[in-house]
Amino acid sequence: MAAGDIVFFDDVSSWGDFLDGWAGTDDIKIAIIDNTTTPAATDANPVLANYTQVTTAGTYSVTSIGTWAAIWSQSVGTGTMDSVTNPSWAADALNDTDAYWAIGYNDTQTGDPCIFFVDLGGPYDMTAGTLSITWNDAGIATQTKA
Amino acid sequence: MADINQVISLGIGTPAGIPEFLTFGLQIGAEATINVSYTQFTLTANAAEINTPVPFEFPTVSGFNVDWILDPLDKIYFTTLDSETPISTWAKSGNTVSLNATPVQLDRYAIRPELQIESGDMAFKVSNRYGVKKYALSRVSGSWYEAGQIEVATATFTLTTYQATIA
Repeated sequence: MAAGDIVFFDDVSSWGDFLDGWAGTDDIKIAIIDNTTTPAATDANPVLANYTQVTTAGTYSVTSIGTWAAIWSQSVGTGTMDSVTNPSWAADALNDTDAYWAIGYNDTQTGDPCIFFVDLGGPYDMTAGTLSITWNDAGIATQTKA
Repeated sequence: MADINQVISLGIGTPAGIPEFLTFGLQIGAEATINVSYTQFTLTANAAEINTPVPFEFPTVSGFNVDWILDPLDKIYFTTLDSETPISTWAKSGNTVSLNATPVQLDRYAIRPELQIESGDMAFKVSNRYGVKKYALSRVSGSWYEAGQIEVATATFTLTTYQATIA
């Protein structure tokens, strides 16, 4: 993987809840984790608690990138996940120095089910500079009828 | 035997008349094939009509394209008067996302079953104990009173992710 690569978990609440069951008002957030547990697409029942977040002693806290209705949309044959919010955390001496991945998860659903993770090219030293994630102009992902 | 058009009108017009529905089903059972004129029902075109039952038997459509359209947020339900059961499930493996629908087996006296899809068009085929198979393209179907099975095709989607910039 390379920095900026995005991988969706296979088991996003078995994808059924992901596509059919989440409310439009659900809050989708980004968390930053270290390499205590390496996320993989095949992780079963991926929930935020399975991974280790970086410390909140400095500027880090989970960041909302929008409601489910705001980031997931569809037109005929194609679904698109995108966000106008590019999360960013300023450098701080109290931040961790080993940020490895950003994880997108549903903060409203029980257990905080995870949707995808982003490779930060870690270890990323959050004490040395701002950590920002800028989504691609094409969005985070699309799902297109094959 | 009553004219099939009359029977269909009776069934739709008197939804509380369950005995009529059963009679309708038995009459269907006596027929090898029933073709209902296309003009007798309307393929629903908007969400407001999605719960309106229409006759289940569709005429054979020449050149029908089974490469049907499903949107990524679609879900499929099979409903009767008493229950609503999702028959579709999603799965993901790698970058392939699939919508799989479980075939529905109808009882002989199933009352007003409907196949629903939340949005988009879909295709399905139906077979009964006589082996009749028909393909249909619709958003919703219903009013079937004979034993049979509804099979819904599987839709496959490709998931594409786009690289973010980390700085």
